[in-house]
Amino acid sequence: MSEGPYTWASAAAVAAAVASGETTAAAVVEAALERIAELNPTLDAFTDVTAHRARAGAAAIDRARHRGQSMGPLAGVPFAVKNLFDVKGLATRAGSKINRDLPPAPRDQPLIERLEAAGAILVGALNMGEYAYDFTGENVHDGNARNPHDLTRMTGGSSGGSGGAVAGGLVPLALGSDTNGSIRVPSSLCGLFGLKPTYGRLPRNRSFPFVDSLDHLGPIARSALDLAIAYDAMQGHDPGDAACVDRPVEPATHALDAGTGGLRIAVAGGYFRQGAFPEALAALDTVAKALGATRSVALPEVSRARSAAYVITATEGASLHLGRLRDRAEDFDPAVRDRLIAGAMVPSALVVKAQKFRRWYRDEVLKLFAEIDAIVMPATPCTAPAIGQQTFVLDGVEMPVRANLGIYTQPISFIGLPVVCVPVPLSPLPIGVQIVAAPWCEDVALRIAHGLERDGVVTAPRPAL
Amino acid sequence: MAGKAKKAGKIVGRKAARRKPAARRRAAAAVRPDPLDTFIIAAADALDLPAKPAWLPAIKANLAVTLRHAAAVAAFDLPDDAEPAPVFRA
Repeated sequence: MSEGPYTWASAAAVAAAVASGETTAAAVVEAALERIAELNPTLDAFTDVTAHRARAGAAAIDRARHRGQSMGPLAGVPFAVKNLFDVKGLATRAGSKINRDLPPAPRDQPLIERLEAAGAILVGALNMGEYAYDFTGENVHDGNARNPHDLTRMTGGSSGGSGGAVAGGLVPLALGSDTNGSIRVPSSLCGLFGLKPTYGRLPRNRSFPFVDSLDHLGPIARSALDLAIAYDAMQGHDPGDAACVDRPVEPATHALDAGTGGLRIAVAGGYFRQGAFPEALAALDTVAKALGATRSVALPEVSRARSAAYVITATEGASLHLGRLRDRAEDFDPAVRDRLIAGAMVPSALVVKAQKFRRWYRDEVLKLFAEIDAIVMPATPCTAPAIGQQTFVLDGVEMPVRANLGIYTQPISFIGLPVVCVPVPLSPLPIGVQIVAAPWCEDVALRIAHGLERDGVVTAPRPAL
Repeated sequence: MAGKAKKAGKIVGRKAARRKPAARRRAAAAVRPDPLDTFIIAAADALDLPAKPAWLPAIKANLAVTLRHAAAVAAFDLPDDAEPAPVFRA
C-alpha cells in the first residue's frame, strides 16, 4: 500500500512540516488522494473525493507560504467530512438514496469553512449510516464501511466512514456527527480519539439534521492534540443554529500539557459496568488505574435516561422524515424506514414526558460535577462486531447490535455533556473509554486524554493494511 | 342474523366462564387481534403512513421496543410543574 512520510503523521506534524517548508501542501494532498484511490475500494470510507478542490486549496496554501504569509495551525492538513455536512457543489446525501436528488449545496457547512480558514484542505465526503440512525457503519446504498483493523468487522456508526478514513491513514482528521454516540462508537471500534463537544458549542447549520434536541458535530483524529487544534479552530457562535450558544471561544490546546494532577476523576459504576464485555471493563480499569481514579459514582436513573433518549430519537427522527416516509418509503434502508414509521406512531404525551425527564436528569447529573471534574466510563460494550452481525448478548440477554452499541454513549449525549473518547490498544482489537466532563469543560476532557496518551496508556494503533 | 349471532355469543360466553383463566385468555387471544397490530394499522391509516403487510412485523417490533422505553420514562414521577427546556442548555 502507498505510504508516504506523512501518511501516519498527526495533523499537528503535517502542519508544522508545511509551515517550515519541509514539505508542501501539494505533496501531502497528492499522497492522501493516492492513498484514498488505493484503499477506498476496500474500506468504503469515502463517497465523494473532492480532488480538484483539494489540489486548488493546496496550491493556495503553498503560494501563501512562498509569499511569507503566516500559516494556520492546520496548514496543508487533509480532512474529510461525514456526508451529512453541506459541501459546496455536492448533494448532501446523509447516507441516503433519497437525498441524492437534492440540488448541490450552495455553500460549505460552517465547520468546514473554519477548518479551511485554519489551513486545512477538504479532500472529500464520507460514508455513514442512513440518515445517521445507526451505530454500525453499514449502508445499503453505498456499501458497508469496513474497519481497517479487521476488514470483516464494523467501523461502528453512524460516522463509519469518518472512523475508517482516519484509522486507515487516509486522512489525519475527519468530522462526524453524534446524536446518541455516532462519533464515540466509531472512535471506540476503530481505535481513535473522538470529541463530542458540549451541546450548543459548535454550529450545526448547513448539516443534514437527525434529532435537533440531541445532534452534535465534532472531530475524530489519531491524537488528542489534533482533536484540540481542530476544536479550537471550529469554536465560535453562529446565529444560523438556534441551539448554538453565544459564548466566547475557550481554547483548549494551550492547556493540554497541564497534566491531570489536581483533577478529581471518578469511575462510573452501576449501569456502566453492566452488560459490558470483559474487554470493555479491562480498558476502563486500565484508564482508571493510570489516572488514579478510585472513586466510583453512580449516575442517577441512567437506564431511564437512555430510554428517554431512545424515545426522543425515534419520534423527532420520524417527525423529520414524515414527508419522505409518505412519498418515498421504498427508497429508505428498510431497517431505518421501519424504525421511523414506528416512531411516528408514538403518542406525544410520552415524548413530552421524556423531555421533562431530560431536564430532571440533567439537574441531577450536574450535581455530581460539584465534587468531581470528570467521569470515565466505557464507550462501547464490546470491540467491533462482525459486519452483518445482528445480535449480541448483554447481561445474558440477546439484543440487536444496531440499537445497542450505544448503550453507554446515549445517556451522556442525552444531556449534552462534553466527552472525549480515547482508544485503548487492546489486542486483537482496540476499544474506547469515554472521558466525560461538565458542560463547557471540553478542555478538561482533552487534557486528561492528552495526559493518558503522553503516558502511553492510550494510543491510536496502526492497522496492518 | 343478529339474533343468531347473539345466541352463539352467549354459548361461547358460558363455555368460556367454565374454563380456567389462562385458557380463557388464550381463547380470547385467538379470536381478538393483538391490540398493537390494530393500533399500527389504525395509526398508519390516520397518519397517512405507508405500512405494507410485509413491513408490519418490523414496525411492530420497533414500536414495541420504543413503547417499552417510553413506559419506563412515564413511570417516573415528576412534579406537576416540571417543564421541558424550551431551549436546552447543557
